[in-house]
Amino acid sequence: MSKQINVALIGNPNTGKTSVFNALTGLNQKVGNYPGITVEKKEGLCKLHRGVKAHIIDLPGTYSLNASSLDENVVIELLLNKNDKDFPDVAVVVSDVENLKRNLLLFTQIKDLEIPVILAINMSDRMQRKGISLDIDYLEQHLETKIALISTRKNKGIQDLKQLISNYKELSIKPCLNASEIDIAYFNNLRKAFPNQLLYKLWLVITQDVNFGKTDRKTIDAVNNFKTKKPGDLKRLQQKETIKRYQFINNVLKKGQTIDLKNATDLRIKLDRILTHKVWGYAIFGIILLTIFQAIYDWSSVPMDFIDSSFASLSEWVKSVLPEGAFTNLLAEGIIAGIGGVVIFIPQIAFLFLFIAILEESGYMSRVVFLMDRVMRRFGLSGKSVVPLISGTACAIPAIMATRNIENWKERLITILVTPFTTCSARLPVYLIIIALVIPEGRFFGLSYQALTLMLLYLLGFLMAVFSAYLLNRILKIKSKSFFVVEMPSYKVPLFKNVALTVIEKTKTFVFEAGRIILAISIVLWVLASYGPGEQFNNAETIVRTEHTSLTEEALEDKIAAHKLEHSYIGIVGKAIEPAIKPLGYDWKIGIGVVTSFAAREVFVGTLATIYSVGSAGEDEDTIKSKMAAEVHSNGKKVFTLASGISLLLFYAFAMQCMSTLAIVKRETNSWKWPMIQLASMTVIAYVAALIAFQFIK
Amino acid sequence: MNTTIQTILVIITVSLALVYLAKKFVLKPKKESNKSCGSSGCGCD
Repeated sequence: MSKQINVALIGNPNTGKTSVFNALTGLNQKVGNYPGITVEKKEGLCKLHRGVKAHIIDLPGTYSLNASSLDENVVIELLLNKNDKDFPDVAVVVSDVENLKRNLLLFTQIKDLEIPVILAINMSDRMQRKGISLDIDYLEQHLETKIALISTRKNKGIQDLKQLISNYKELSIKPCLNASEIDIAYFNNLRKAFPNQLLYKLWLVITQDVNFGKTDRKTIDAVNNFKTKKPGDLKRLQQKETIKRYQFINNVLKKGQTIDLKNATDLRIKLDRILTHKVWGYAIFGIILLTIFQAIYDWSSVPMDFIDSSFASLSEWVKSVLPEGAFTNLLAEGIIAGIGGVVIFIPQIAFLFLFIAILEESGYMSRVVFLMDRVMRRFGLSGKSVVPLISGTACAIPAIMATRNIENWKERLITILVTPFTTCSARLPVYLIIIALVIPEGRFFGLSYQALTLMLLYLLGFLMAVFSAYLLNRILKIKSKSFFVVEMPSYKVPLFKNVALTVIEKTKTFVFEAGRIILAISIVLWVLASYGPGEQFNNAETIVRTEHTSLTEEALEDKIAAHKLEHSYIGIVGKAIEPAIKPLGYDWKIGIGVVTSFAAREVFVGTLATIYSVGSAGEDEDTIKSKMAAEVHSNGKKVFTLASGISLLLFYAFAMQCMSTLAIVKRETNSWKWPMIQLASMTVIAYVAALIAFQFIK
Repeated sequence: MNTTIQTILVIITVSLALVYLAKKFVLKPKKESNKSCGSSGCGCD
């Protein structure tokens, strides 16, 4: 049987920790959540020598073991709990060669927990350019560890790191700092009260209010009348600890590291000056956004058309091969149409995440956060709100969880309430199909109207979030502010492997997470659209043939399908809500799409694909887009016009249609009050905006 | 495949879809954490 060891990858944000994780594990990785909380857990397997396998856990980035967020708590709780199945046999602290001093703070803290630690100094390929040289032997000797000098970019040093992991038993576990030095009298008392426990662990339990095993702050308080200090005094001691650690680090680096500034190039400073400029910074960001949206349209049209027609052909093929019957219809009109409604958006979603990954990998995204911070502050938002709002373009759920690092509760609440306005990837399929139907294909200065519309919708969501924050700021009367510090990582050429893994992971999440819901809803909708009560449904054929004696057989079949759909269960529901949505320019079929979208927005396209598949007997309009384009009202007018299309786009831009987001808001605010207020207010805003747009444009 | 088998397959598929949706949205297991958010007054304590 092969042996397996646990390896924890720990490090400051932006040190290339995930690149190291990718280099060690390749595609043998999976992403999940830590039990009970929604902090992302990345783990993977790495083969070492002699059949030994390393179970690698990529822990959330943290600057120190003084946790201020749930993400950072995850790191501490794992390192304190020896009974945890993931407790590391060895920790690899990944540090960035340019910020070694700051990175070593975390290293010394982990070392003091008496866990074998390897120091992996990443981005070593930049040393020469930055004028940095390291005396590895000296550093190893004084930090009492083994060092792997690596470059994930150049794929160097990874084998050495694997070798060091294999030999982890040879590592010293001697601490860097004698914990008692923080406060001799206090720590002596602590040692007397807990003679068998590691002092630094106890110190972390006291200062971080976390628990390990059965020990927590309360039990420490209760034992032998040992009294923990007041929070203010503890903070002062923490500061003293940090100063002592930096004194140790400075002493080590004085001889272990030399930086020759004459050899360092200042390209980064020059680039920063332009990219964060108060005029050019925004202009460049605007141009980058335009390019991205244009590329999303230009590059994905061919694969999208191919996927759309392939699913239409598959549906027809299934119908022709399988014997006639309910299940064959469910397969062709429900399941295949539903899956098609998901798969068709893979190219555009993959391209969007490709660009986002490139911007993040290159270090540009931090500059965008810095730029946006300037705007945010004018509207009373915390600088820390920028990160949730920007990450909300992928999905509101992690974005809302990212608000946990906003200390001020009211600022955090405002950010939670406005984040769902930013355009998440679930809105993308709805936008794309509606834009393709109602916005002409012409170009303006080389940019297509469709790409411009998509960009405007993204801007609209962002502006609405900022405007709502401004209003909420006034209503909730926020007085205090929190501070925002953003780290500007060095500019890097994005690593293909990292970008590819991000794109694959995000696309997979969309297909399998959203896809399962869409497929399940498509199946239920197919049943509701294929069966109905009463004479009108059961005798549809007789009724239609009697009423329309002069029509051709093909036209009659279409009429019968439409009549059946209108009197099916879903038709009855749709007709019941039609009066409420008619002023917005929607018919009852769109109404069904809007209602099912309250589970998740992306369901809209799948819903319409299913409804139109059931309601059409003809074979002329086979793709989702062509079926929607051919849809007409009873008076012969097209259903999807510019007016109804803009109305729908605005409705989806503002409406709160995501049950998972509501659930996460409930969890983060610990009350149903805020998600209900959010649901009601966003729905009202969406309805009014859609109503005004339709009534003006029609 | 006769009509009965097709109907049974439809019932099984729809039941699976309904169970999945119920699990996803209605019977979602409660995963309450005893951890606070690191800030006072956030309602999570």
